[in-house]
Amino acid sequence: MAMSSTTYGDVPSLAPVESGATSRSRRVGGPKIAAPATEEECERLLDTAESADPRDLVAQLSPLLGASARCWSPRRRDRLQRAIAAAGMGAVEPVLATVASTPRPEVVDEAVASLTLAAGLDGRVLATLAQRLVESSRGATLGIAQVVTSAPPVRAALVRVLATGRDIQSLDDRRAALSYALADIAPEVRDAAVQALAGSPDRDRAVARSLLVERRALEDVPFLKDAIEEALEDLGGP
Amino acid sequence: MPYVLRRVTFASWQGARPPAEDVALRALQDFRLSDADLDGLSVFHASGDPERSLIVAAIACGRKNTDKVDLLEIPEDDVRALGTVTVTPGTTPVARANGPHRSLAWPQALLDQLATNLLGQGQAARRHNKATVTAAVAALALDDVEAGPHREWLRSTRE
Repeated sequence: MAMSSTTYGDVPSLAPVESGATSRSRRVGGPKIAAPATEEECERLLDTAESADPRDLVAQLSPLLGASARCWSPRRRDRLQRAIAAAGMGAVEPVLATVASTPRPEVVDEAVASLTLAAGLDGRVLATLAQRLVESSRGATLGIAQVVTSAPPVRAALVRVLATGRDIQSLDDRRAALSYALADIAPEVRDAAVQALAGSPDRDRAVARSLLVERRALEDVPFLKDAIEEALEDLGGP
Repeated sequence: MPYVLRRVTFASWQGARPPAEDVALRALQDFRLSDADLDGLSVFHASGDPERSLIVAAIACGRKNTDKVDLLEIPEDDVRALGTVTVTPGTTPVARANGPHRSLAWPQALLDQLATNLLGQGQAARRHNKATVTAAVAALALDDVEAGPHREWLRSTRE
């Protein structure tokens, strides 16, 4: 369905071309990798990433998460997320830095997917993220959160990753962290916590309900009050 | 009325006029480009419920979950008043949803201006909750989704 003043074809270049890059490539995240502009460049980059030590390239790959560029097919996005996740704990800081610098929903989605995969590969990731969330939520509430990678979009992303933590060892960490997030100063983080609790597995539903009921009495943001009601309905029970 | 759909952070787009300063700053970040965004800001063109529902389903398939989807529905005229809307191939795993994909290949200052205008108008995001997203995904045929992990995810939702 064409629109009257729509243009077709290439979009204009938005920035100077880097030496040695293709006509539409630009550097991201470090001196050695240009944002791929073509399918061939994407494939070459992913092939390189998959054959290298994941920790070597994760800082350069992370800024490509959620990129708005036609060369990133769904399969390539999957490969990118997996290549980043392969770094395990090494993925945490670069991915959170990407969320902090470009917190658009599509970027955050792919960052969450990468960290969720990383958590599945490295048992330390969830506990680390839970601790990070508790510290940053508490710090923000007290007005002492100075770290850029603890900004509200980052805390909301942490909540979403923790929501996927299903192993027994992580449950206590998860509950504690979500409890803090539910009282976070930023509505965006509280929203993420409500959504996370709404999707709790059966064994966690009673705890999730009690946390939400407790928060319902304190919450004063209209959309969050609605979200809590909806979450309680989703969770069922008394 | 045709409109342009843009994913946003629901908490930042509640329609307050004027929004609090911190809320407005966060809202602008939903329009922020990085060096990796070679096509510009990703949006979709839609003119009714079926198109909107298809796009919601495509977003869900792309991330392989039926969590909420929050969208701004921006009147097309408001976008065109500032710049050109470019047809670019979408990269969702649902080919039918990639047709209405568009890009705002604009300088950051112009994207900021669009966001600021919308905030000034009290534009609010619309939440598509889990039930709505689930229903949108259920309306897809398996063949609508690119073969591979995304189609497998869709298949898993039907088992």
